[in-house]
Formats: sequence, structure tokens, C-alpha cells
Amino acid sequence: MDRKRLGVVVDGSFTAGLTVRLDPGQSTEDLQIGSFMVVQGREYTYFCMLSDLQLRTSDARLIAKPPQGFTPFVSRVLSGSATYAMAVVKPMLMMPTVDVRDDSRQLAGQTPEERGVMSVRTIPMHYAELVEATEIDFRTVFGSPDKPNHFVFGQPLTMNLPICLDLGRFMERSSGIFGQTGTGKSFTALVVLAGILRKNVGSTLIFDVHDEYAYGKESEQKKWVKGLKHLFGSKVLVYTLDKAQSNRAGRPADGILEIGMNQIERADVILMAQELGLTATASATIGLLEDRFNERWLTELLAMDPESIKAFCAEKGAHQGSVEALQRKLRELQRREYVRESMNANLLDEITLALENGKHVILHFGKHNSMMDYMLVSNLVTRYVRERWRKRTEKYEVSKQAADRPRPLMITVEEAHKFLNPEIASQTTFGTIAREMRKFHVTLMVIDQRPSGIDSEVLSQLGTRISGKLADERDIDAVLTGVSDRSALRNALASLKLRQEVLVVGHAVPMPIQVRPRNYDAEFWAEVAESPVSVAEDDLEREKRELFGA
Amino acid sequence: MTERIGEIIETDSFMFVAESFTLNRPPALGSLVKAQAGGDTWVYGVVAFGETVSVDPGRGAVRRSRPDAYDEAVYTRHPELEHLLHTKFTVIPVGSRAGARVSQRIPSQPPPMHYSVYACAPDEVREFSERRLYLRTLATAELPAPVEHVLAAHLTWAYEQRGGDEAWLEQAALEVAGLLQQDVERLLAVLYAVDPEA
Ligand SMILES: Nc1ncnc2c1ncn2[C@@H]1O[C@H](COP(=O)(O)OP(=O)(O)O)[C@@H](O)[C@H]1O
Ligand SMILES: [Mg+2]
Repeated sequence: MDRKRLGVVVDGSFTAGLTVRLDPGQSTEDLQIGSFMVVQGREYTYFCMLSDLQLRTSDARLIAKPPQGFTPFVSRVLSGSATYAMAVVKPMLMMPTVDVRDDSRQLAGQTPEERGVMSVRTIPMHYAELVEATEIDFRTVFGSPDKPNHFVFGQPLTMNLPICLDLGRFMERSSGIFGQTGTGKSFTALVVLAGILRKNVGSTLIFDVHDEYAYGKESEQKKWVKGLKHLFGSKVLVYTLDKAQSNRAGRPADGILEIGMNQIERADVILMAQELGLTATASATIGLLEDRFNERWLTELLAMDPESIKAFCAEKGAHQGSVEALQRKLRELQRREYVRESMNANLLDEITLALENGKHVILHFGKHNSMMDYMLVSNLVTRYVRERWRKRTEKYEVSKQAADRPRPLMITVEEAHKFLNPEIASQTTFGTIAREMRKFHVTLMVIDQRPSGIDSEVLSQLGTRISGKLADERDIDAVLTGVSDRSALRNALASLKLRQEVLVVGHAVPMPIQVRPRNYDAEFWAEVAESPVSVAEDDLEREKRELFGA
Repeated sequence: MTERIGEIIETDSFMFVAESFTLNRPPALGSLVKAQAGGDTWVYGVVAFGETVSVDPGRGAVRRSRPDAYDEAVYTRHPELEHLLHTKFTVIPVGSRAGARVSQRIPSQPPPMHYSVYACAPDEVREFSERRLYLRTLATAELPAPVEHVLAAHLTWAYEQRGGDEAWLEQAALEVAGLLQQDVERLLAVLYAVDPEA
């Protein structure tokens, strides 16, 4: 297939990328930073990312004193000669050129590896041609919709063809979805989650604090979109904290989640130190309480009168003022509608069992959607579930029976920095999961608009990163923590549009690429939904009316 | 066969000088001419300089006009000037022809002394200038005049001979731009001079 020539390689290095002199007449404005391009070397063809564009002049006088008032003829001749442009492209993958010359050979095999695509080990010589990537080039590297775990995630920014995520690899390690507010993180997550459910790659546990994943939400175009419960029916179990919400039309819940004070541990409370206004001594004080009362520490603390506080302090050497302050502040927990004095583990077991059996669980917060509710419940549930997965894994390691092999589990958390900021990442279950990688077959999908608030050790463990536009330099740095070719990718990130354009880097794609995620719309729902869902517009409108009485 | 316009009076590998058959009328600056080099071989060159001087280098020209007789009248009154003065032009060889084969390499032999120089017909100009490698030869030659003027003159002349071929002019200008890109003042001098839109 003929590719449009853009220029020739004139300089470069393996580390910094190839510098390409653009052909006269090739305007920089027709090229987009971050786009996918091809360099045709003699032995190998290189799949590259456009990382920079530079304007040059051959004579410093053109800079010092730009000539004025020339005709189009003169400016046409000057551009491309004395004034010219350079492109910097970063080769990421390569493939033998003999195979690229033949479309059918180029597309043979199911995966890029089978087609002979390999990571770059060298660079082409001078005057290798930079050409536009064709549809076949894109398909060679990114498109394998027929592979079991491959899911069409979106399309390139400049073409209409499928870009796939390898969801198996996506779930193998923790991942992140980043971007400023409004870039489409939640919608992107919905697309990915729908893919995981559809392809049955593993189980997912979703903490739906903003009320968007279970029952969908209203988009900024004022369209009501379907939630995962609508699309996947009984495959998805929704547990809600908000009793009142549980039986509204169009929002079926499978259970009400309550937690017992006996289930709340020191780590859960310390995680909320800021929200509760706890002092530095709180942790030590809770330690003393736990020593004395075990899992009843919170119940006992809240029941203490001044006398028993005094007695406890005398016995354990605790500071009376600290205990009193702690008691006062933790009353906040007691007041939560969903917090009971004592609960057995049945409900958490039920949730865990459902996950083990291949269902997906969404925790719905309803009106209990303060950061405190979110952090308390998410950490507690996650701790419980991870513990079960740890035990399963240990059992599997002993028995080595395929039947004992834990099902991959991915936990989705919005506002991830709340659990993974550098101060507390080392203490939360989420931090532990992120750091231990896939040891126990549990991974996270963290969603956050401020990745710089997340511990860098956690960030560097992320296998796949999907990021929309970010303005803050620190956030851009954070997203690319531990990634190679950072400078190329940084530019690719900076050049994204504000909405529904992302850069995908890492495990789930053969090489970094800018993608427009699929529209999360009726067409998409019809494709992924298990049971045929009615996605007619008026149907959605009716649900909306019932919900809001509008 | 085109018109004989001069006879070679100085010749070496990189340039030759011919005396023009018409006094005061050397071929146009920048025009393509060809010199007989024996049999059916020819040397193509670009006119880079033209001058009219005294035949005897020891005796410079003096004033001949009078208030009632000047310009053309000077020659009518002094027919001997035809013998005292001569017009010479300098040509930079940029290619050759052997039979039907045209090459844009500098010929291995200079054209012979006292052989004839001819003008080139438009078809021949078109044929020769189709490829533009010779522009590099011209731009890098040791010229008796500033390179930008010679190049500008040649481009404008060839553009007209080719019947106002703008595509050719733009390509040629791009080539020149590549050659002169280190020296923008010269480059701009060429571009402004050849600009058909100006
Ligand atoms: N894949 C998509 N399909 C449909 N609409 C989208 C998509 N991505 C973004 N949008 C639009 O952008 C808006 C913001 O997306 P959202 O996911 O809520 O952003 P964020 O979670 O980053 O704040 C949505 O309301 C929707 O209108
Ligand atoms: Mg969101």
C-alpha cells in the first residue's frame, strides 16, 4: 500500500528519537503531536510516535530580520528550503520491511508479535522516509478484535478504525484512568468495564461514589446513559448504603450494605484522619483500645463514660485528653445510618462469594456519598475481599489445582488519591494491593483527576495508564512515572483535546497511542449488553422521569 | 539549425569566451547557448557575462558623440568603430550533447578555439532544462558576475522560453533556494527577481 511521504530522516539517536526533515510543501499544521507514523528503513519498518515539531531556518538572518511583504511565490519557495520544519519521531516497534511491502503478510497472525512486530532494537540510516501510517499499519499494531481478550476501546484521532485493549493484560496489573474533570474518565471507565464484563476477563468490584456506574448518569449533553446494571442484569450485583434508594424504578438493588462497628479497624479510621480531624496521637490511642477490647474497641470506646475513660487510661497508660477527643470525633461514625453496633460477616461473605463466582459487584453510596463514607466503606470492604483472595491464592499455591485458581479481580476506585496519597498509601489496603502487584490476583483501576496526589511508588506499579488532558505539569509527570520515552509522551499528553481523547500507555497496548474512546451510547450498549436491553430513547426518558419526577 | 551568434576566442574546462557577431548585442544574460565541439557533439552553457570593449587593450574607447550626433548616429559617422570595438560574452559550460544524448555533466573537453557558438531554440531549452541538476553546476561555478544575478537571469529567461512554465519556475526556485540557503540575502535577490507574481 502506498503511503504518503512526509520527509526524510536526517539525524537522531536511539534514545532521543529520529529527526526528520519535512518535505517542502509539507505543512506542520497537517501533523498532530502524538500521532502514529511510520519510518521505512531498509531492513525494518518502524512504528513511531510523533513527539515534536520544530521550525528551523538555514540562515540566522531570517530570524534576526524576517523578510517582509513577499508574495505567495516567495514564501512557498522559502518554506521547505531556507525556512523548514523538522519532526521528531520516536520509534516504538519495528517489523521487517519485506513483510510490510505485502499487505497480506503484514496482517498475518492474530497478535502483533505473531505478525513479526517487535520492540525496537535499532534505528534506520539517514534518508529513511517518514510516511503517514495507513489503515493497515494501524491494524498491524493495534487491531485484533477477534482475539479472546481484545476489546475495541476506541479509534485513532485521525482515522476511523478499531484500537483494541488487551483486557487480560489490562487486568493483570493495576491501571489508572486520569485526566482533568470533564475529560471523560468516568465514561472511559464505563467503556473499559463494559468490555471486561462482556469479555468475562475477571470479576470487578466497583465503588460507585459518584453514582454513575451502577445506574448510569446524565451526560453533559443532558442524555441519560445506561449503567452497568442495566446492561448486564444479574451478572452485576448492586449493594447500596442508601436504603431509601434501594427500590426505585429503574434502579434495582441486590442488597443493602451495612457495616458493624466491630468491623471497623484502626487502619480504616486513620485513613480518615483528615476528614475526622484526628490528631497524631489517635493511632496510638486506638492501638491501646484494640489491645484491650479487640474488635469491640470502637463500641467500647463510644460507650465509655468519664469514669471508665479514667479507669482505662490508668490501666493502659493512655492520655485522657486523647481518648476523650477520639471518642468525641468517632461519634461521627456511629451516627452513620448504615453503621450498626455489630454485624457478622455474612454480608461481606456474600459479596466476596459473588465475586468469586464470576459476578461483579457495585457498591452504591446514594446519599451517603461524603468522602468519609466513601473511604470508610471502600477500605473496609476491600480489606475483607483482599484477605479472601489472599487465602484463595495461598490455597491454590499449595494445591496447584486449576479449580482453586483465584479469578482475577479488579477493584475500581474514583478519587484514588484519597486512598493512595503518599501519607497513607503505605497503610491502606489499596496501597498494599497496588504495591504487591498481582501477587494475589487482585488489582486496582484507579481513577483520578489529580494523579500527582498519588504516591509515586503506586504510580510506578501501574501497568496500563489511560490519560486524558492534564494541565498541571506535576500531574503529567505523575501519569508518566516509571514510563520510558517520557518526553515524547508528555507532548502527546499535552496535545490532547479537552474531551474524549486519551493517551493509552503500557501493558494493554503494543505501543503508546492517542485514542478517542468509543462513544458510550445506545449503539455501544446494544453491542455489549448481555441480555437484550431496551435502549430506546423514550425508555430512558421514562426512567429519568420516574427518578426525578421531572 | 539555429543561428550562429559567435566564435570562441578563449576556452578552458570551466568557461569559454566568444566574440559576438553583432556589436553591442551579446546573447541575453542567463540564456542557454551551445558550442560546436566537433562532429555531433555540443557543449551547452549559460551566458554569465557580456561586454563590449576596445579590440586593442592598450587603446581604450574615447568619447565620439557631438551635441547633434549621438547614440546610433555615432556609429553612422564612424563606420570604423565596427573594427575598433568588439562584443564578447562569457559562457559557463553546464552540459553537453552527443547525438541525441543530453548530459548535465561538465564536458570532459573544452570546446575548441574559434568554433562557433549557437543560440538554442525553445524546444532545446525545454529539453535541456527538464532536469535541473545543472543549476548546481552553475551556482557553484567561478563566475565573472555575482551568482544571484546569473541565476536570476537564467531562471527568468528559461521560464519565458518554456512559455511561462510556472511549475518549472517554482521547482527551479526551490532548487536554487536549497543551493543558496546559507546566504539568504542572495537567495532573496534571486527570488524577488524571478517572482512571476511580483
Ligand atoms: N466515551 C464517551 N462517550 C460519550 N460521551 C463522553 C465520552 N467521554 C466523555 N464524554 C462526555 O464528556 C462528559 C464528561 O465525561 P465524564 O466521564 O463525566 O468526565 P470525568 O469523569 O473525567 O469528569 C460526559 O458527560 C459526556 O458528555
Ligand atoms: Mg468522573
